[in-house]
Parts: sequence; structure tokens; C-alpha cells
Amino acid sequence: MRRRDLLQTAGLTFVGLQFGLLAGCGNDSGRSLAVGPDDPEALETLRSLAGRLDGIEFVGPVCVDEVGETEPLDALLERLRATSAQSLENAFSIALEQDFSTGDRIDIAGWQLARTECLLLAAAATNQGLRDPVLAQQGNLRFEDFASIERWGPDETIEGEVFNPIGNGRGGFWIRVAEPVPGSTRLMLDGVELATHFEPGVVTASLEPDHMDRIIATAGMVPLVMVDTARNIAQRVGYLTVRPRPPAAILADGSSSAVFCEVERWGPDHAPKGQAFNEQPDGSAAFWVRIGCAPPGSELVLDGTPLETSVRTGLVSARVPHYAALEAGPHRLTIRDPASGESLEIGIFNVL
Amino acid sequence: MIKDARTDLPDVLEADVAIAGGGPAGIALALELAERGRRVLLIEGGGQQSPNGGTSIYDNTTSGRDYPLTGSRLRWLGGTTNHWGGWVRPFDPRDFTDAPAGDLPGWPITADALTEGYRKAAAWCEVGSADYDTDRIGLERRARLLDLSGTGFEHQVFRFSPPTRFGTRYGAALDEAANIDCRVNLNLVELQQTEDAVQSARAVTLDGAACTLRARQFVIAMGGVENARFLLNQDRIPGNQSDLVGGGFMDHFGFTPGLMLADAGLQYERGQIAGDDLMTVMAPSQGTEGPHSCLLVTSTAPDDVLPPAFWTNRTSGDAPGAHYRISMINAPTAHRQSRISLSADRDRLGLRRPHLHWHLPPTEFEPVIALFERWMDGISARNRARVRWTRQNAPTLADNVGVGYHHMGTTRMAAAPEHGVVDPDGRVWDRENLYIAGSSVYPAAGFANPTLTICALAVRMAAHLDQRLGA
Repeated sequence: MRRRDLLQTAGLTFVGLQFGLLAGCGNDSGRSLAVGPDDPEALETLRSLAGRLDGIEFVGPVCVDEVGETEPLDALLERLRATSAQSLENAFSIALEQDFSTGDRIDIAGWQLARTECLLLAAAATNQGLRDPVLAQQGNLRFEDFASIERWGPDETIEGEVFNPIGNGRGGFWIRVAEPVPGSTRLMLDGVELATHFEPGVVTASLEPDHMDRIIATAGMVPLVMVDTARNIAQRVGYLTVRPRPPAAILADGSSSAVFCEVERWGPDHAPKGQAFNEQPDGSAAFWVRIGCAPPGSELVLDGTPLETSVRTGLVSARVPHYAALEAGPHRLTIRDPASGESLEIGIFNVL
Repeated sequence: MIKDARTDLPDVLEADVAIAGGGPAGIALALELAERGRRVLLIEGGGQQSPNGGTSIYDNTTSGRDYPLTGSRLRWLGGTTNHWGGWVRPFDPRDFTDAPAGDLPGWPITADALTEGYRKAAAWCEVGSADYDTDRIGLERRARLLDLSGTGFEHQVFRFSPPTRFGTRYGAALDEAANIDCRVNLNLVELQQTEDAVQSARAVTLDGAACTLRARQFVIAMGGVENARFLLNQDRIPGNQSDLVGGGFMDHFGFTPGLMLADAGLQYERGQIAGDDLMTVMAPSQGTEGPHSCLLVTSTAPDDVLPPAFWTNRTSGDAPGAHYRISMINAPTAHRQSRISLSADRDRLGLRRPHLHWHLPPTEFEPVIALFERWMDGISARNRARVRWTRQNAPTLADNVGVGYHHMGTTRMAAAPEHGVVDPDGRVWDRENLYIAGSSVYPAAGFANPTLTICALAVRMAAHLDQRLGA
């Protein structure tokens, strides 16, 4: 069995450093932006502000080129003065609004910034010694519990068997959570992000067909992780166990089944007449069959009568509502796959 | 009672109302009429369960922009509710009153006409509440959202059905209703008509058994494509006085124009508000120029050009930031040339197969892009976000465009016969006892998913038919 290391997942190229930068955010130190644009301290206040700007490693240097001002702070101050606002803060807001309202935007790799803020960013880049644009670095995922997981599934399948199928070769997981999780949460299986959806109390996630094929191709244990992509933190959910595929069942004509694995055990194989065998909570009777694989639409058939059947990984069960009417003697139990038409003998159930 | 027509089919089936099509429209209409004591015949071409790929009756051809017509139709009891996602929202009053783009008129009824229908439709779709008023819901108090004041946009919500699979959920009710005769595996193929009425209809099974349907009123509820296809297959095409049977095909189309950097922890996605199953979107307010589309917000991984740290700056958000993907669901425009027509090829029932020409040229995206730009400037000007505009140009005809699988408009409702196929009651203009139910009657569609309105119209049609049938 293969065991994959969760730490491998932790090293994924995902999310990053940014959360760390948020710690202690809110640059309240330094000069107040309450000074007016005409105040003698205005220029120095803007310079101080520019020196404290974060997250500008890429856009700052680009703004230097885009605005083309040798003294961007002077140009900025001139804009702010034109607003007639009484404080730098208000002036900046007004200028920003005017820029966006009039389409005076600077496009940086698609990001639409106001010319006014680009002037500030250009000054900031110069002030901070940023010459060439640098993309933000992605950091390591760190592990921390952020969701209250109650139950999840499925936690096992067998080689080649799509688990929890939802059609078109896709399958997926469900996770019951006690509290809503952040919208930035994604499930990751074996390091691959899954399409993640939220319903009240439940997070679901599905695998694309190619990913599913890869996962179920080999027996082993595959780590399932829940990641808050915005904060770059992860929480272990558990492992999906892919069990080795049991041998194919042998059909009545001696050929190998294309859909059923060997039956491991089944029961009950006998019961007194009129007795609810393997009695269920509602008083009815039921068969169980431990079988390595069976298609989801399979049904147990007793003497040619299909039974209401439930198929789970490794287990097929069916209620027998008419148990009281079964005559004494042998009754033939089979399992049938309507899609392929294959039928496999389970055994003889004897009513005593 | 539900019966399989392949094993139980008399020569003649009779009812007050004969409904062809066992999707949400047909099932809701049948049960509403039965509740009023009417004798109803409901026939469904498929069976009670998935045919597991046996839908060759639905084979088709397409032209124009690529459209997944085969995969978007389901042929068994419950129709496309067997694969819907459960998104639910009524059309807005403005969807009924605003003049749509294009040269075809909009709804001939107002939202008020569907008030009762929407109330009951919420129950049919098993939605916990019929309230979509964001003030009454207390949305902006309960969820952390962008402040949209002054932007020309507002918040709206979708609710969610479980999703109700109508065939499974209401199968027992159909089976137990003494005045409903529901036959599965029975296909409507022909209307026997006079100049202004349907006298009877012929229905067949795939193995060749046939029967005559007699009823005082006939309703076609076979789906947004099939309704038009069936009418077009008749020797005398009902309601085609203006060549609009099949014309005006619409679907909600998607567009993902960019990313947003804004406050961390925004709660737009489903499952984010405790105690209510809601998803919040942004939509243009009344008076904002452009299509009645909506913007969806989905959390995504941080961007490396403008990282979250940028949002902590005092001149931007002055708060922890996070990135969100912005995608749009767009109101389609009805065009005559976007239409269902018939190909020469015939199916096993002898009916000519449908051909869809989907007319969604790049120019249809221009107002969508302009709307997005309007939102972007509004939200940026008020310093509530910065936006990365990644799709500034319209998709070419070769580009794949996401669709809602919502087939609408092919038997459109209109105030006058020259503009549509059915009248405001859903009656085919030139047939006194032939009605069409379902999303094919929509002349306009806003951004809301169609199922709730399908049910609301079915509820309204049931009341109308009951009144017409009299004592």
C-alpha cells in the first residue's frame, strides 16, 4: 500500500506569504492624513505615507513607468489640491473617485488602478528602492484547524471504482461541518484542488474525471485536506483508502464477470418460515452481501423478484418486504446489474 | 395512477385536460388540476427512471455558437429537474416590465400576475421561504458584503431547492391521485386539429402501440426545445402565424470578466449565512443602464500582482484583503434567428429531429462588458475594491461560452399574435383549447433560473383552465 505524506501536500504551489503580511495591518503610524493639501507638511506627509505602503512590489515599479513623472509626489499633490478638500485623506478619496468616474485608469496586468493612486505607488516604489516589478511570492501552507468537522465520506473505495459517483465519471466527497466555513475553503485530494461547494452544514467537492481515474488507478491511502485559500491554512480531513481490487467473480457459464467481484460472505442463508431474518428497525427482513465490487445500480434478486437494494463500497444489502410469504424450501438469491445485464449467483436461501 | 404504456395502453384515453410532458410544468399542473377535482391525463415520453443513455429520441444538430443541446435535456419523469442544481429565484418585476433588447417585445403580464404562483411554486420546489426581499431578510446585517451604496448596483439573493426531483418527489402523489391517469413511455406525436381547435391527439410507444387522447383542453409541456419541435412537426403548425414557433431561443450565458481585491471574509457564497440557505449576488439597480445580469462572487487564491497586503494600505481598504473571482449570469436577448427548426432526419417516432441555431454573436457581450465596467468603476471609485479586468473583449464565435441549460423562448408569450405563439394565459393564439407550459413561453428572462417561474406559471395555468372548464 502506498502512503502519501501529508507534508507533500503542505508544500503545494498554493497561496502564500500574503497572510503573514496582513498580521498587524492598518498603517496607522506616521503622519496624519488630516493635514490639508495646502499645508506645508502635506508633501512630507505623502512621502511618509509612500514609505509605508505594502503589497506594491509589482505595481509600484510599473507605476513609475506608467505615470512618467520625475517627481510623482509633486504631481500627486497638485491633483489633491485641485479637489479643494480640507484634508489629504478626503482629497485622495475625491481624486480616486474622479479618476474612476472619468476612466482615468492605469491598467497593470489587468488591475485597474486610479492614476492618482498610481502616482502615490510610483513615489512609494522610488522611496522603497523597488526598481523592477516582482510578483508576490507564494509561501508554505501551514496546518491549523479552522473547521469543525463532524463526519465525512466516503473514506474508501476499490481500485478502478468511482467513489460516490455523481455522473460523467465524476465522484466526490461530503463533509458535515458544525459551523459555516469561509467561502475561500477548498478541498484538496492528493494535492489537487477539487471543485468545492457549500450548502448549509455541508461542504461537498468533486473530482474531475481525469483526476478520479488517477486516484482510483492504484491501491493506497490518499490524503484529503481542507484549505482556506485566503489565509493559506490547511486542516487534515483524513485519508481516502483505495483498496486493491478483489478478483472478478466467476459467472455461471464459467466466464469472468466484467462488473462484479467475488462474493466474500453473505447472509442470512436460512431462516424459519415467517420469521423476519436479519430483522431491521422497522421489523422487515434483509439480506447482506459482502462483495468487493458491484455497480451502483445493482440489485439483489430473490427467485426472480428484484429487491429494494442499497449498494455501498464492499456491501450490498436489500430489504425483503415479502419475507412472511416465502414458502419453506430453497430460494435462489442472485445479484444483477441492469446496465450490463450480468447476473451473478449468490447462493441458496433456505426457509425452514 | 402511474402506468407503463408499454404494458397497459387502451385505444382511447380521455380526460378534462391532457398534458404531454412529465417535467416540473406538467407535474405541477397535473397535481394542481387534480386538487381542483379535474380529471387529468399526464403522458411522459420517457419512463419513471433514467434510461441510462437511451435518449436517442433527443439526438439533434446545432449550428451557430456551440451549444450542448443533447446533454442539457433529460427524458424521464421529472424532466430536467433530474439534474438541476436547485437554484431558485423569481423573475424581478423589471424582467416583466422593461423593454428587452432586440426587436421582440417582452412579457405581456406583470410580476403581480404571478404573486400567488410564486408562493405556491416555492412549495412545489420545496424552498424554505418565498421571501427574496433583502431588507426583510436582513441580508446586509447578517452577511459581510460590499457596501454598494452609490454604485448603481444592489444585492439580490438566490434560494435553493433540495433540489426537488419532481418525478421522484411527486411520483407517489401522481400514483395515488384517483383523478390522474399518468402514463409513462407514451409519446405525443400528432394533433388532430380543426381550424381553431384540437379535436384529439395521437400518442405512441416506442414499440409501436398507439392510442387516441381525447380531452377538452390540451397542454404541451415537453420542454423548451421539444415544445417547439413538436408543434413544428404538425402538418398545420399551431401558433405559427408570425413564424415564431421555434424562434427566439434563449439561454442564460456566462462570462467571467475578472477578479476583485476587497475586504477579507466577504460572505457571498452559498452556505455562508447561518440559518438560511442563500447565495448573494450583485445586480444592477433599477435605472442602471445595461442588461439585467448579475455578478457572482467566489473566493479564490491570492493574486501575485496585487497581493492582499495592498488592501491593508490606508489609501485602499485599510483592512485585511482577499481575492474573489467575479463571474456573470447574463440576461439573454431573444432573436428570431436563434431558433429551433427541423432537420430532415427523423427519430424512431417518425418525428423530424430538432436543429438548433444558437445566435449569440460577440456583439451580445458588449453590453455585458459595459455593465461590468460600470460596476468596476462604481466599486473602485468608492474605494471598496480594486478589480482585475481579465476579459476586456467579447468571446469570439469559436470560444466556448458557459450556459445554464435553460431552454427558453421558443413558443413565446405575447400580447398580440404577431409577436408570439401563446397569449398571456399560455393558450396558443389560433387554437382555443391548446396551451403551452414551461420556459418555452418566456419572452424575456433576466438572470433568474427558470424552474420557479415554470412552476408559478403552471399554478396560474391550472387556475385558468379550471375556470375555463367551469362547473
